Amino acid sequence: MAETLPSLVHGFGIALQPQNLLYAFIGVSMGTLVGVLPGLGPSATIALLLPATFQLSPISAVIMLSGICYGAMYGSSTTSILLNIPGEPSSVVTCLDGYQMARKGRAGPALGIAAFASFLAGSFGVVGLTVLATLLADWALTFGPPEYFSLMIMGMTVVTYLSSKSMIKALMMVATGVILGCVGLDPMTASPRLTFGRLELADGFALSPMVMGLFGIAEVLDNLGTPVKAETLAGPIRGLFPTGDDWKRSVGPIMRGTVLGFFLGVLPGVGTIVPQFLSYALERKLSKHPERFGSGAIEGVAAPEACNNASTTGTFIPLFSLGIPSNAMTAILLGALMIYGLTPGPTLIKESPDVFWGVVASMYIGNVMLLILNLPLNSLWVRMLSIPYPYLSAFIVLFSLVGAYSLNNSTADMYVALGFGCLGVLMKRLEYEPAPLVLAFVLGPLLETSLRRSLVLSDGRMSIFFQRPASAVFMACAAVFVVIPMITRERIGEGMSAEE
Amino acid sequence: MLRNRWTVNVWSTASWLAFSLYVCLESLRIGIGRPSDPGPGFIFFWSGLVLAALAVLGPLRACVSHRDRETTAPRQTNWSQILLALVVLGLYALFIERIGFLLTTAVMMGLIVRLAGEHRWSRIVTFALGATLGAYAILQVWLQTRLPPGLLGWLETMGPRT
Repeated sequence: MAETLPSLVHGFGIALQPQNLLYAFIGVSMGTLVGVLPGLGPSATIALLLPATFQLSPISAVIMLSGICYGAMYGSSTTSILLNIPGEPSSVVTCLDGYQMARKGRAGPALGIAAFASFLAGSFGVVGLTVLATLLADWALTFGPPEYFSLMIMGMTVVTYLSSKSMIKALMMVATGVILGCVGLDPMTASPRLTFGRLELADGFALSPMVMGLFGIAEVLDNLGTPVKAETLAGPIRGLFPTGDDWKRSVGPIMRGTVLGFFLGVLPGVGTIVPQFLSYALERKLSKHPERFGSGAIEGVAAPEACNNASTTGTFIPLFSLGIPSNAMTAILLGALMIYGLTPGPTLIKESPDVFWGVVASMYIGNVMLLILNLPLNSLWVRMLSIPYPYLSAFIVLFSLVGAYSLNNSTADMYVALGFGCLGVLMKRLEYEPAPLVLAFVLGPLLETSLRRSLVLSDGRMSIFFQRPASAVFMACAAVFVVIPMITRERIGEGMSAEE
Repeated sequence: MLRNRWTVNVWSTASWLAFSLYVCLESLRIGIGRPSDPGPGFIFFWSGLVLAALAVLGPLRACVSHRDRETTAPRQTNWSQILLALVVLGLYALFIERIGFLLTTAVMMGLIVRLAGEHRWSRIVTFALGATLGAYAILQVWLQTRLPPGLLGWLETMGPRT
């Protein structure tokens, strides 16, 4: 803990290097852009840009990709407020009051409070990340295979519990993700598994083509014939700075949204969507005038916007300190860390302090950049929405396929991306969510290794997962998340989707 | 056919069962080992089994529960449009190495823009050519991605040598 401040100062030394500042700027700008554009999310963007980052140093690359993650949270509020279409699912709630404010001619203060709330919450989240990640990593050093297995089971169970569609379908996606993630040579015996005799599959399915297919190509195919129409509110946006009364009403919601979002984001599997709903519900409950919510209450914009930014930063804690992603976005980032030759998990902070502290310091800087980018450049981002969807879709498809090709200079990866694109369309039509699949795909190999090692250690007894305290707690939590919906027939995540 | 929720469920369950059966059989072939010494197929076998159980449980639950039956109907889907786009993209993957990035990309971009809703050919051609050259400049020149030259490989020999 005493080493935190000197390490952070060292991190600032790295993050302030010109090339890292540039990549942080590119990352947050790209993040804001994809956040503004409905249909193209940070997950797909990270996957698309992944091959292009191979020539960069791991520090610059992770700084840029992280910038996309938290930058998208800022950008997504713009479309929610001006179009009533969330740029990302994590800004669904902002539509409720943000759009009503815009209709009443208060788009400026709505955008302003969204940017300030995002900045304050994002900055608090990074302070929390600075303090908690090292503590959690030190604790996680005591973890053995059973604890890791139980933790991953808990994370996957939480993801399925919080899925917006059927929990059974989400569990099926988890099982499929584990199967697909383990394709390739067995890590212990090196025997080929489900490779169909193809040499290309010896290393298993690569993450990038899979994600490009599921998120990029599937999105384009799904929208063919029904292009997204973006109609912005007419007139210039005036008065971005909220009034004194706006601030008075927003300070409490921002603080509560920040704390709630951050601590929920830290929990593996919770992600960023559910906390904003809880934050909105909490504010409505606490408000003396709950009837104003839904008709343009500024608290209804401030709280969820603070919450989604804090929870996004919170999701970096299990990623960096445990090597456990919380959602599809951090799962892809985890895959990227592995590609750069880093070892995600409790040893990352000790073995690669430059990367960890450099990225943390860049987040402080990135949040300031985002505030500057979001306030005066809002009209520029709004203008981006006028790009006709047919042209945007052609670029998404091109970068998905060429990105897949450039991984190994092989058309096999293009076919993999196309295959997952088809699968993605079917999944959308049959209401299967891709997030549990991607999460399980990334965690699958680690889950398998932990399970097999645990069983070897215990001579085949499953009781090992319940005898060690931390493992038993994780397993108990997982059991609770499976049993609760069976008893109550209600789930928190049910129905929370971007479409609704 | 896909408009009928029941038919969709039957086909979906059958597909999942077939997939999980294949995974289980394959895992038995490669060896699941014993609990004290799990083999390479261990995780596949149990994942396949869980998948099969869930595939059956889903429709069963929907039959029993009134609430689950009231799920939203599948959206109207222009499958011919999707299939056509997939054929275009499949052909793009097939020919990109033989014909090269520039030619195949220009054709693919034009066709995708057309399928996505742009109907004016002058715009389509202008966009396809401009976007292809722009993408080439970003990918090959700036990011130095190795793109297949194909038929236009001779152009590279005329460029500056590094």
